[in-house]
Amino acid sequence: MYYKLVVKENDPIEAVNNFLAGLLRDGVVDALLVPQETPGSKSVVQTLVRSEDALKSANVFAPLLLTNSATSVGRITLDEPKEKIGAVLRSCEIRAAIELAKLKQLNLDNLVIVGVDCLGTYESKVYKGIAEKAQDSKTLTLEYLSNTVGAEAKTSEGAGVRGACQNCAYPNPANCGISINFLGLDVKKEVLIQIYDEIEGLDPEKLDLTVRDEVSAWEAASENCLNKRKKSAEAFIKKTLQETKDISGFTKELEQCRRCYNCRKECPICYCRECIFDSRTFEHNSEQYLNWANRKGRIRMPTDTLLFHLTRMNHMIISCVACGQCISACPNEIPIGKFFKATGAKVQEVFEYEPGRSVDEEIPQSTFKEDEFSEWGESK
Amino acid sequence: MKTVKLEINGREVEVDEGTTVLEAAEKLEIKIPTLCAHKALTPYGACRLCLVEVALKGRVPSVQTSCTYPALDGLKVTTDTERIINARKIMIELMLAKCPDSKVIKELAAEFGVPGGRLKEKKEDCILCGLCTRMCAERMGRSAIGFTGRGLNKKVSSPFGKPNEVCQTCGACDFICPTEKLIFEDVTAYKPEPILDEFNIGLNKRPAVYTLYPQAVPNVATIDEKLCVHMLSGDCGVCKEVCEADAINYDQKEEKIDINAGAVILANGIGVFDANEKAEYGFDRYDNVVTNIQFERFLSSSGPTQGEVVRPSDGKHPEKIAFIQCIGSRDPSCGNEFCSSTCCMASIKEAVIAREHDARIKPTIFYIDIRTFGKDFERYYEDAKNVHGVNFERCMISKIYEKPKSKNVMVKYVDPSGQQKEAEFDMVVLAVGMTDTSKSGELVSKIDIETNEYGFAKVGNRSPGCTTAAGVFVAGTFAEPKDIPETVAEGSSSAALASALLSDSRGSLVVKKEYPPERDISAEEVRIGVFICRCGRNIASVVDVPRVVEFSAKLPGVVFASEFLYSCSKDSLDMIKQYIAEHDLNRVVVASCTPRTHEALFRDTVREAGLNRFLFEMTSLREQVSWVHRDDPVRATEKANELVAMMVAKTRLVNPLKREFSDTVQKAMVLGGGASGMRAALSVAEQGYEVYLVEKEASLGGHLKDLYYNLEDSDTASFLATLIEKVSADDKIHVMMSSKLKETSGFVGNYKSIIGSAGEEKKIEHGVIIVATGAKSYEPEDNEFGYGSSDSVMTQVDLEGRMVKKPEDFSKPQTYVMIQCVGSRDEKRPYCSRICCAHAIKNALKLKAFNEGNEVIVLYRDIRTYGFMEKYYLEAREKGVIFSCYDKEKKPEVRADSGGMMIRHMDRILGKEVMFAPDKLVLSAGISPGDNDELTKILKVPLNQDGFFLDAHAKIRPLDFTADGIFFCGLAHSPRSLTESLMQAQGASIRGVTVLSKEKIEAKAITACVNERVCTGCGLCVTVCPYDAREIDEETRVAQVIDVMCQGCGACAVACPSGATSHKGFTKKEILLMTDVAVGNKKDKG
Repeated sequence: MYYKLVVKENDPIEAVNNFLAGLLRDGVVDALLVPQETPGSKSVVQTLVRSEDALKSANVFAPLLLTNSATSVGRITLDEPKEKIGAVLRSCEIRAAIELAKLKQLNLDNLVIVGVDCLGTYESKVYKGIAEKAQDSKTLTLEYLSNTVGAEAKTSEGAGVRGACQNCAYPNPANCGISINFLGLDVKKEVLIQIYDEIEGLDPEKLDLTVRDEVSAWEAASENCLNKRKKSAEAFIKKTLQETKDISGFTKELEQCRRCYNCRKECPICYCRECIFDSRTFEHNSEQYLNWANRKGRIRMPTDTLLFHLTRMNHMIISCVACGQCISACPNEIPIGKFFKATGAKVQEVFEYEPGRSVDEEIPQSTFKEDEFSEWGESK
Repeated sequence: MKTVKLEINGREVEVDEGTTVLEAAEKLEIKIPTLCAHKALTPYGACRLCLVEVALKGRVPSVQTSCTYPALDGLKVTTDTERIINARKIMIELMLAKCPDSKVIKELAAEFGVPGGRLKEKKEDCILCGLCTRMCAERMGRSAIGFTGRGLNKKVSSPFGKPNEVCQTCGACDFICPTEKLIFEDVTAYKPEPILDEFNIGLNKRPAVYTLYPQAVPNVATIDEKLCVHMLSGDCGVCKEVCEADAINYDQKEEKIDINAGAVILANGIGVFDANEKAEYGFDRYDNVVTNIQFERFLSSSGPTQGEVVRPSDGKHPEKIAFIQCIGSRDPSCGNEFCSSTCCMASIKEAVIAREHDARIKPTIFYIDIRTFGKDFERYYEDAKNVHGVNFERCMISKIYEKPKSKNVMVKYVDPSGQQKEAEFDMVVLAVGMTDTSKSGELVSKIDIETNEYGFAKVGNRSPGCTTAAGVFVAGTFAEPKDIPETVAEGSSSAALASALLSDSRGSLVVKKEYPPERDISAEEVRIGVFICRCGRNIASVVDVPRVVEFSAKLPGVVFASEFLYSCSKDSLDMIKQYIAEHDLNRVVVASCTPRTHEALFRDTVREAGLNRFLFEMTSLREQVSWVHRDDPVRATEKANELVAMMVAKTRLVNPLKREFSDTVQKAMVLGGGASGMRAALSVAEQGYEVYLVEKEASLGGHLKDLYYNLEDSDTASFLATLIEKVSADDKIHVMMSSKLKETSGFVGNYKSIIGSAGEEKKIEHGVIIVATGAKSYEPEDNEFGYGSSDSVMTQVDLEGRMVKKPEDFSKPQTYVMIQCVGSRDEKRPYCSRICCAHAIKNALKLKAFNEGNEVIVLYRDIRTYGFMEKYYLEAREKGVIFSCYDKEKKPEVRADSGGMMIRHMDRILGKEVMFAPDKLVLSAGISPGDNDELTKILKVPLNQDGFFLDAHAKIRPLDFTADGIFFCGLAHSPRSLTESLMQAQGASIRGVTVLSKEKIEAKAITACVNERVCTGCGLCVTVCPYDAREIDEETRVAQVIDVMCQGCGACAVACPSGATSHKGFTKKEILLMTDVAVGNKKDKG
């Protein structure tokens, strides 16, 4: 069902906050994961709140995503809490959450996902720069949202949204219980709220929602945005594949890798309790290192950097939602995510698999079809 | 005996005094070419190829023939100097000029790079090596041949070149000749008679010492004592000389063994019809007429032509091949009026396989009826026709004759349109059937059982497998012609009957093996013993075994390395145990054939020596090396070294593993209380075990309740009553009526099931499951052949019921039309329902018995009264039942209403349309699968494409599911008769008893295991496990392995992204170390 949320005093943030407060007040959810401005700075981070009073500084539109919250949602829901949890998430977070649910690292049972349309987020450094000049996160967010009718983020020269966002073909959230949409709409006047299934305790009237039948502006703007990004993504993937025709295209970028494993830590899909690269598997004995050095002339120390990235890719590529957090997390700005995006697109295509599309879609690792890949191997 | 030490190519060797240099070199695996040396014959020095340089201390090396030169202390021998190679080349060049066409000399010339052509070619075929003359004189004691002439005129000949009466026609001269000169026929005064290979139906020759066939069990050679020269005259003995394993024992005598048995099972099979009895097909006159069994051998890779299809007359590849069916079957003229049941399928298979071998082959099968009634057989027939291009002609052959020049065979026949035709074939295959043999007659007289009119064992049709003598059972074709799935099932069935008789003494002859206590090796340093197997010449002829031994001995952890001629022989195994004790070995590696066949044996051996059986590893030097790298011995040896190094590296890490056992619940659950289910339950109970018999309806009996008589007699109802009475009276059988299986969990030997009955649930525990849930009668669709439009249109089951319940309705003569294959062999149900032909004939005969004036017309596609049922088909025709054939494409059309009935039928033989206006129309409706979907989900067992349950292997495991501990029988398996169902039920019972009779079930020791600290509980292992052996613990959210279910396939270890699942016996550490060694990262090279 489509509903209209009227925005007063040109402040969509406030209107949405009131709506979210209503969810807590009416007991639609008992706890809510929601982005809020931090008290000390103008940064915006995910917070878990239990009462309407605690979400006063919430800002669900803020163009900043310091971490993919799917992991946090997993932590909160995994032990099957009896209470109902709400989580305000962007599409990349929802898609990661779906993948984690398939891998039993997140529980969807008592979870109400509140999805938000997304025009992309800034790298934290860029955000910091903008925030320094702005009064607070609200003003900078409203500035950023000043062209929602055209479904474009208003950014200044040299301060665009993250690369991953520019190539993201999911501006609208899916697989959620409630969504907050604004593409194609004037956020100073209204926001579109969608309620997908019957949600216990949710009464649209109490939340000041009025039924809306006509959403063609939102649909058209969304599609337009999606097409633009798809095109951009296609070109990006093509270019990346071209660059990495041989392994040197890949290793060249990895020369800067300092083995901090931040990419792994920030990856919502990397769910292993103990990574094999934290185990002693790749600690070799002295003789081994010396032998290698002897044979190859020189070896890079520490060893196995390429192996680390390839192993990680091998492990999670099928579920990679291309949120780009690995890139944002890299202290040396290695665009590691672009290889994942390009490889992921290929691998996912082979298995006709789209991570995050549906929780019922089985992960290819766990399925076996006798007739697949008949073009390779013995049956050829 | 005194020994001498000498050095060959720098390597020292110690041999007995009197050994030749050639033999000493052989001990070192140093190859010296020779054409005239033979182990069983005195050295001769004729061919001069074995030249080597020999030198005693301080002397100048001289060139000598190694086959005649004795090994002396301190002798230095070199076999590969330039001088020697050149000398050998000259010898080869001379021989090549003399015998340019000899295969062996051409090969030698190629090996040594001798081009030839410098000398004038002589085109002879004898190199005067003297092998044949020595063989004849030394081994055969005949001297029927010798050298005559001198110098250039020297040749092998009989005295004065005349046919020699001293010759014993043994053929050894031909056999041993390296240049394949045929000496024998020129010298003997007798007509040689080759020994023909019985297994290949005389298509090729065989020697007097031979193995029966490549798959023979046990696969050992045997001596034909009636033809062996040694057995007849005491001469020869060559086989004993050359057998490296010293396995020949001429003193073995036929033994008579008394066996004290409580039951006898006759599975002696049946004979093959002699094609010569049907002389009109020219089997003995025309070269290119063969039997189907001979043709089968042509198709076999172990057959006389290694799988090449050739014409016997000229060895050429045939294109047009005719198969003629029913030779000696369905033929009262030769006393075999029964159907052999298997030949249709056999010919179709042979035709399809022949085309797979050679796509140019165009097979035509001439037949009367195609009888592909077995499970999935109809589909194969349709595929043969539509996909594989096999041509089928329904007709009788009127004449066949041979074209004298081409030896092609002409076949005259009448085609379906009535036209006389003649076709030319390159080859004709006669599908000869089964027949009794005098052999079984001998057996019958000894055991005192009765036979039927065809000479087969007489078996009661309600008691399959039981002969007329108590305690004597029969299985397989000796009871009736049948295909493999039925023979195998009947094997089990008769075993069950015997098992029931003997259940009190089960296990009384079993001797439990006692092992010494296991040695605790945890504090010991690694001490590995490596044993390299020569496998006779199998490995040693390619791999340099002594070199591998030498290499292995230097590997880290190895304290002892040795070689065996056959590692698996009893004395070698004893030696392994002895070495383990002598050298304190705590781990053992054998490099030999394949773990598939021999791992268990070696594991048991190390266990007997007090080691845990998992302190043993095996690597393959035969399948992986010698068999595949025959052409490159040097690199093959390198590879052997690397494989051993890898396995030694792994073995350093292996630790003892424990075998887990779980108690067996010694009870069975049988699902379905029809004839099959009741018989299976009774059979299990007779064998001494409790049974839960679960029936969904309120009464037992299933379909049998609707049947009143059958072809052979008419006691179906009383049979059913007796069966129900027996089941009800048996206190081992717990009948659960109006009950349904709701849930089953657990594993083989240990199932827990929930049975729902009238809203209540009952939990039962059992060790095995027998599925006998049956099938459904096919209910014709509305107005299918007029069904439902009038009371006069009915199914065979309806007709049977009416005849029994209201016989008065059948007193007046009427006209009946029966239509066969209703709901069978069509697009929706492309299988044959197997029983409907017999059902129709049974009812037709009954109608005729009621009133001879009853007119019965059967419209059919193929009449499938297989086996002994054929006689009722004959009887029906004799009694005036009319059979008329229709095509699938032109089914009879029925117009039926209250006013009457009109059937329009296209008769295939007449080629004309015929109209009938019968009083009654009877539809031979087939069998549909039961509602099996729910059960497949509960038991996690598969269905075949027709909706019946799927067997683990159609031929050799027809009663098993792939899942251990679940078996099935009766109509749930596929359409079949009551007798066949009962037979399967008995068979399924003992398949279950094989599990129940063991008090404990052993789990595999090499299973998956979980590092709980690392496991994230993502469940990928659970989804990939094909054996339901993985689950997530709900509390800890960590994956578990159910050891008894785990088959050790490793799928979970591969799927686990966190590396939490690993595989015992194949740990990451072990595998990584092996790969490191393989790619040379570790210095594990000797």
